[in-house]
Amino acid sequence: MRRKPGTLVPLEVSILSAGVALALGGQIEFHGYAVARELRDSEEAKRLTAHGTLYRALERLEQAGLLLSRLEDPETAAAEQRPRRRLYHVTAAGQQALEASLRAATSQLAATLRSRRADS
Amino acid sequence: MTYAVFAIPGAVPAITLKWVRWYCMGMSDEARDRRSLEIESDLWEHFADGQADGKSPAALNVEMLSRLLRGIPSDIAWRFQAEGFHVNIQFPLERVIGVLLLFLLVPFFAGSALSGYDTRIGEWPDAFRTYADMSATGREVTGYLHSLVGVLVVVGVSQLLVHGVRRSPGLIAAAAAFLAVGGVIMVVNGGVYFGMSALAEDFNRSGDPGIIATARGYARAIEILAVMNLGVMSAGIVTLSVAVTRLGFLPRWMNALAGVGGVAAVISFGSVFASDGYSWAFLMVAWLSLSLWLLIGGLWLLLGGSRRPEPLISEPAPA
Repeated sequence: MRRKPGTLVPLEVSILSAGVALALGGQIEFHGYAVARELRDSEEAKRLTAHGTLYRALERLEQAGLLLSRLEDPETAAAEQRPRRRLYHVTAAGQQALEASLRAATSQLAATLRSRRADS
Repeated sequence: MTYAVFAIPGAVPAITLKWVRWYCMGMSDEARDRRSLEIESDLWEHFADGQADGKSPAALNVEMLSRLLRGIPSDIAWRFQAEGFHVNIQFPLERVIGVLLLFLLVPFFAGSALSGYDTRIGEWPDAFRTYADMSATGREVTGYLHSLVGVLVVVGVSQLLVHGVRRSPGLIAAAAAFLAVGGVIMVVNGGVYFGMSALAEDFNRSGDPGIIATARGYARAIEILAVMNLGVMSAGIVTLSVAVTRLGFLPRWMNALAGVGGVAAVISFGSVFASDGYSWAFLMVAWLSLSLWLLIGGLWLLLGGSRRPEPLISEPAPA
């Protein structure tokens, strides 16, 4: 199923929300696993997002200009003896898209509630 | 790949990375490396985070497996979305040569095998009658085998040429030429086997003793073609051994094995013309050395690690 241009699917909204939440918590840049953990904790999900689903969505968001990414310095990773992270941050366009998406969801919810009240 | 992830206990991280490598096959280095590094980092972070939460390695492996399996449809969709339904799989040259070396064992065995019949003038009539008593299928199966393998040699060698000629133009082209001639000889030999089978059929119908002498000519031709095949195949294998060693795919000591085979083959052919009694001994040395080289070299190239550098952790920092 094709979605409307400019709209976000729920996972993309969740990822952008997680990115903004992490940024508000002081973590401006985040890696893929940090998003998976944030989604699990904030949405009280039982499981972490699958690799394929998560990284496909992250790449899509980056291609749309809603996220930007860079590879961290190799020295940092080597010092901590772990693989290099790809670090993402939510762009201004990403924040606007998230806002618009949340506004649309809120107004849709409000419209649904109004029609229910009218029916009852 | 940094291999840091292999420090994680359990098989799932390695399986996950194998899966990534598999579905990224044929993609650009940049796209493939980006996805591999990201998954590798994820696995590492997942494990570190889980350990901090007090989870056991087994439980973390189960979680990782669940993430891997649930993500497979997305992985496949992403793969085709990234580069369309056209999958341009580029096998590394060393793997192509590895497959070719193992395959060449078949024509090297089959193509250099003599007919198995005693072609000496006094012994040939009985040998031919035994041959003619066989079923037509039994007689022709060797012809089919030679023809099929000969065609496959030419096809395999063309692949060697396509994949390898840019890396080592002179040597690969020379090796391919020798081996292709070997393939053509096998096809011709297949035809001679069919001809000899047809003569046997005629002999069974007519009983004409003149056919026996004609058939001996065919049997001698098979012997000569088999020796010629051994000669060109040996030359092709020795040239190929020099080429793959120069490309750095095989260690230098492997050249010695092929070299012994090549020298023994040359001495063997010289001994044939000198009509001394040692030609078969040298021929066996040549055949065994070169077969051994094909076997070891083929397995080495096929099962050994790829030479493609994967400098994910050491790649330079972005500007």
